[in-house]
Amino acid sequence: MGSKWLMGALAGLLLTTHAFAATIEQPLPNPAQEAQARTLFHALKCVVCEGQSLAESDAALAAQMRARIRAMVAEGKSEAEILAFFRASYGDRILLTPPLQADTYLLWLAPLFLLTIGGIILWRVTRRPSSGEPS
Amino acid sequence: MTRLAPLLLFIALALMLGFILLGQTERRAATESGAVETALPPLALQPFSGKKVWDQNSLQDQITILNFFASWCTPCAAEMPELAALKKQYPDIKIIGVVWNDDPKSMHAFLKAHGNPFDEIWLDPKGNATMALGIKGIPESIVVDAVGLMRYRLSAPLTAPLREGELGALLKSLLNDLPTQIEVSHGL
Repeated sequence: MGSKWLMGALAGLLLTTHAFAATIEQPLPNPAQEAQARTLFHALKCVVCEGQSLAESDAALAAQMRARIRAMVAEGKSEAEILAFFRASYGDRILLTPPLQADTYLLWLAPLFLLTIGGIILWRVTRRPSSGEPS
Repeated sequence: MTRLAPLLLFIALALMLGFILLGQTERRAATESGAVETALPPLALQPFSGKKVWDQNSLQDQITILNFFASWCTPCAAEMPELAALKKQYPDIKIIGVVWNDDPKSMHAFLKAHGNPFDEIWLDPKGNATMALGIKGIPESIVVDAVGLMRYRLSAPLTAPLREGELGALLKSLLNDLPTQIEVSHGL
């Protein structure tokens, strides 16, 4: 009875190990290509997560996207071509760093504008003598 | 206090701008479903059963709805009766189920439990079609017209008000235009 239980447990362990191994992502055999793929994982957002890159996400779609990127890199596609593929499907919002273009001017320039205005106001407020102070 | 008034006014304005930008982002997200008019990209789908080969040209000259779904997706199960009602209402429209991130065995059990409203079922095991179409979640339904243009996307489960409302109106209009579209596509 004891040996049967042990054999069953071992078989279960083997199945678990096999299932786990199947979910591990296979890096590309060429280190330069793998590095190129990983750069792209960090340039693209996980479209089903909040504020995560493809590199950080455990989502199934993110895993499929990583596999697709590796396949495209292995096919010899350039970074620009791969990014263009994902931008065509998901729009510019898939990029972790939005490009500077007409519809993102406000996004890029608003912080700079607000910082400048805030700085000017702060400078004027601090250099003006208080009305309560004796002259 | 009067010295700090411009600074407080500035902070209030900055917060207001932030809320406006946030609101725009949310509105964009909410309008992802709706009318579109772009060509259906090439999809490399795998057969659900048998050894059929996906032929995108077979979609020509008819109205097609591509429905992306999976057996583990609860909202997908909830929309099955609506898809069946849609098929009953518009028998001439082809409904193709595309199974994303799932296995055929689980899918067979799902179809047995929830019914099969599809004319055809295909698999997207590596998510290539899902990515080509920019799909973020399932269920998602895409209406494709007789010349291969995507005309409507629904990034949510199909509901009776949608079926009777804007989607129904679009399908009726596409069916009315079908003979003309076929003539145009064949250069008649």
